[in-house]
Amino acid sequence: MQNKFGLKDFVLMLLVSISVVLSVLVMIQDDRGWEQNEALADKIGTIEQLVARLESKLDSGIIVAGSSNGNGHSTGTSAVAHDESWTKQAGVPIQWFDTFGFAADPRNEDDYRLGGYFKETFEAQPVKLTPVLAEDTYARRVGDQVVESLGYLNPETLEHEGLLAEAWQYDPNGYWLRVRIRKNARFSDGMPVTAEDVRWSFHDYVNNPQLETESLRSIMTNMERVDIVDERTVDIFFTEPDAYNLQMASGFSILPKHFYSQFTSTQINQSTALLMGSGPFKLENLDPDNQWTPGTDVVLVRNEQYWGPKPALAGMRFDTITEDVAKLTSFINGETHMITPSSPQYVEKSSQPGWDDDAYSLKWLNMRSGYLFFGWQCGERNGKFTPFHDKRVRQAMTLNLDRELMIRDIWAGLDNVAVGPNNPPSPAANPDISPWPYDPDRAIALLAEAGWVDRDGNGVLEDENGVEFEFEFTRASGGQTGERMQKYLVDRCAAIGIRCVPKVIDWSLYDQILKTRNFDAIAMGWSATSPESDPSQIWHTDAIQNQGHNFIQWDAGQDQYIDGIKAELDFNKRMAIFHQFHSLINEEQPYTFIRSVPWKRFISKKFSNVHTYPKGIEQREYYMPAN
Amino acid sequence: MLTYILRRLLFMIPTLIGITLLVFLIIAYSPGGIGASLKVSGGQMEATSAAVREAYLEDRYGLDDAPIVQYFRWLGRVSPVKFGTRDQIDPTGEFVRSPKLPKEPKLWEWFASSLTEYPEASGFAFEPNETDKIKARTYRRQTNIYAQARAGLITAKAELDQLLGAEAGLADLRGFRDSKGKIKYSVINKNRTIFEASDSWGQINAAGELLVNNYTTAQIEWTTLKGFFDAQPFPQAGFGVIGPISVSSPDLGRSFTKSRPVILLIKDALPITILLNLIALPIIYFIAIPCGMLAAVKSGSLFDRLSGAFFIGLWSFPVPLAGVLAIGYLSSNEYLGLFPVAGLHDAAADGFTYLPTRASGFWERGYLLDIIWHVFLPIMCLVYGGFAVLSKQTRAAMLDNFNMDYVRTAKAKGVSHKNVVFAHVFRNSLLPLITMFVSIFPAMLAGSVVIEQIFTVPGMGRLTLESINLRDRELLLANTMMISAVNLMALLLADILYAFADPRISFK
Repeated sequence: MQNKFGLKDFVLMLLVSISVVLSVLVMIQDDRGWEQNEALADKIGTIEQLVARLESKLDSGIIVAGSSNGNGHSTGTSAVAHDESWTKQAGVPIQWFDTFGFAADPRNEDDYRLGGYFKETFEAQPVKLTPVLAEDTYARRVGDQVVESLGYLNPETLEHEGLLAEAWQYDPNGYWLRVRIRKNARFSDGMPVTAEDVRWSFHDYVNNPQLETESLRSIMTNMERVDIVDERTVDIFFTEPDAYNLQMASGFSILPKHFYSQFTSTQINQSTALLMGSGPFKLENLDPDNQWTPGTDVVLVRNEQYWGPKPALAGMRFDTITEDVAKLTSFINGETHMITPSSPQYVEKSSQPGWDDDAYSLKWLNMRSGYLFFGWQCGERNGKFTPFHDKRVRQAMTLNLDRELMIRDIWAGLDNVAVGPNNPPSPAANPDISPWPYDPDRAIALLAEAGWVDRDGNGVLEDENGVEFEFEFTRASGGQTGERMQKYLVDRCAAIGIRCVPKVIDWSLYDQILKTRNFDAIAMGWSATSPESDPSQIWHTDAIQNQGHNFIQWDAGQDQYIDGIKAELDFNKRMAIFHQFHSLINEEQPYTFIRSVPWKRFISKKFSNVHTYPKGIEQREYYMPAN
Repeated sequence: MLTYILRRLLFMIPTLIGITLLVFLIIAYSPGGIGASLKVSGGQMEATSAAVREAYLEDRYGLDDAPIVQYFRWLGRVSPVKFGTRDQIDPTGEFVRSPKLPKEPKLWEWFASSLTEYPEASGFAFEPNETDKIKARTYRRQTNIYAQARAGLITAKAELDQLLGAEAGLADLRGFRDSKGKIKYSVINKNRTIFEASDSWGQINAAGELLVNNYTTAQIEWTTLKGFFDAQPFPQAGFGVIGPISVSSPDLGRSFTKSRPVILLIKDALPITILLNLIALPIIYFIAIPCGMLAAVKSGSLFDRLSGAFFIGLWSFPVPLAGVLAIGYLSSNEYLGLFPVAGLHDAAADGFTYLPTRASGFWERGYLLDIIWHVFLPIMCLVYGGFAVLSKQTRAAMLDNFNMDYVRTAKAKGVSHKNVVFAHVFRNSLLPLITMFVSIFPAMLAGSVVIEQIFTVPGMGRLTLESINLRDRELLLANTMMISAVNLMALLLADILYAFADPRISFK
């Protein structure tokens, strides 16, 4: 008799497999409990350390300096007597930054309360968080909360002020900067920030050829070296004076040498989140063997050892949602507290009744806002001048485009027509300049003046040799806005007798097209990272021949202004040259400036003290009121 | 049978090489080529700094070599059988390779009468009593020195290229750049007189001399480093076979857009995709096959027609729309709010216990249930379109068999209807289902791009898509190799399963 696999066997098998699965699950459950215990023990260890240090401080009778109670800013010489023994050269003015505080102090509010996590949702996944190696804007947004530099931009005034620096002395000729580091500045593990950390961060981190930091390294060529003067003082030397040296020297991340030097360069290069600094928040998980990986939430917790005014939030979380609808839904559900909505979402939701009860709808221009433009090829393409070589043709192109209408129809009416490379509220924008009007008749007249007339009556303009006005318009593939821009441009060109041939290419090819100057007209956008970006990268004629960003090959005597801007260390005088430069661009129209791109944010009203600044937003000021 | 399997396995090697080579060459010769996206991310940089950065990237990833060279270099690393100098493994587990030679500077004859030769290797050997730590430190220090020298060479080359490019542009020289904007040295070399007569010759000459000097320095440092390497500061990887042939574990390399080892990227993404599919596939099979069987048994009935229409209806519904609708209606608190919107875990999941527990009077769902709750919607979207094909296939195969003579014979013998359906018809209808499984299984690993995008699931689909979009050489090749290897294995598996399911098939 043959044994058959019957129902009874099946039930038995089922029971056995269920019990096996269950025991495995219970084992995992146990492991997790163990891991959580470990983490807790670690935390207690840190707290014990903190208490021990506090105790020793109390025993030795040291009064901890009251900078953490600081409020507002005071720059320049103050009434407080300062120790000036560290200065390099007598007579050179010293800038003191006595206190560093919140731009809008939450601690004065009645419902101020500690605690709560603020969750921000990104549109794309940051690849890594390790400072300098991480290049995307999302990693920077996380890094800004964790790592600090010697100086920072005041969110309201956009002036350079000391952050880790208590004071500095800047050579009037622009060759050196001596920086005094704050006495109480500490990294998140409690170790003090020293001159050696500054030197190490520049020479052995940014300038370490074995680390993949070349993006920053190749920009920071103007910084020659960092010398240690004493424990808290460094000298920074520049190869030549430049208006942007101070920004560079005060803006690079100061990293803890004692933390990073325990890793080999390969370990740092391949790390995802070796992120540690002296900022108000720190990474919750700083375990080098078990780092954060893309796809999981980034979790920051308040740095309890922060030397400055501590934030109210217990921490911040960052996740990523790539899909627009999902992102908005997540915000409505309260799963996230801050998103960047699309333009239509912003317009639809912010006008919806009741929306304002739960959310701040913020839209503002700030120092990072960029602009969109059509760039016209002013030079040669494949050995021949394009029609846009003539200034009058470029002016006509601008006059022929109703940019107000474009903004209304393509970007749901969000924001202004851009006026130039710097837009209000930037001080570099010339306040006397207003956007070119929409005037097709004048455009036709200008084209006729430039020799473009419809000579054979076929509806297309020709020059005196009978060559028809036809040009290629290059844009990046993907996205509805690009397609709408293209349709509008083709349409407007046809209306005045110009043939515009669209060419759609993948974004990864843009670089090649730009470098080889192989286009007639191109749609692009620039964004800024600082209040006044160095114009030489985009506009100087030096950036024509050597594949620089003057890809439109525009050459109309702009160099005198740009060189002047770079050489002028005085802010007001520099702005005056900027304004002249702006006038030239406005007259020449090498770009048709379309739209300045505002920042848009939805932020949950669970949080208070939410403000917008010319610099951006300051999440460290937020707090979660009692209810 | 065994020889058959062995033969098939051996044939896989050239097939894999063929597939990866083809995919690689198509990407490499598409506009932009390998690593095109790396250069875009430069943003607002001065031309010189952008050029320096690009030179670094090219040097590090060998992007300036011909595509075919890049491919064979990759193949050499992936292959478990290695030729030539053996790699070493440092204490952190990283491969340490024989140091790369510095690149001979172009146009050197403009600036120097001859290039220096490499210095004689000194036959360096570590003292026998030196500890591993000291050996490692000595080697690392020299690595750093060589890296500095190489960086000097790279920046000097970028600088010289910039000057040459600028001068050639001013002099209206034609065709001195290739279609990717790189300098063509042959054209420049022919027009040497133009450069020598130009105002910037002083600068060009200085840059050139610096380049040649830096090359000499790099040569010296390379020789020292190579001496250290040959003295074996670290244990060698794998084991030697004969002469220069050795065997060691394959190295998939590093993704240059994410600058992380490819193996780690796959290790992050693959479990998520497998998890989704391990849940989704059984659901599809457990619903579609019984429905197909029932439809075949009751062919022409209301159930047959209704289930057919319903499944075809589901199959026709586009996944992106379904995903967005699911989020908009099922997830949004404005409507049902039953499921989370995105991600795999709740924000508080780290503090959860693994299994559901009852704490302080209410149930906490625990880590495991939390994941299942989070992947519910993506799985629904993965599943609903899969019923139609499988159930129709089952139905058709069963109907075919119902009309066979042996079924009539069985019925005539008096075999019960249940036995006819399950033991005779169903068993013989399995063949097409095996074929189906084989086509579904590799797709499981490849992931679903659309669903992963909508629900922000960091799985294999997104990784593969990114590797293509960003033209990331290592990632793309690793993904291609993995997917094609799994495909080939699945085909082999299917053939073996055929033999088991159908005694008529044999591989003798």
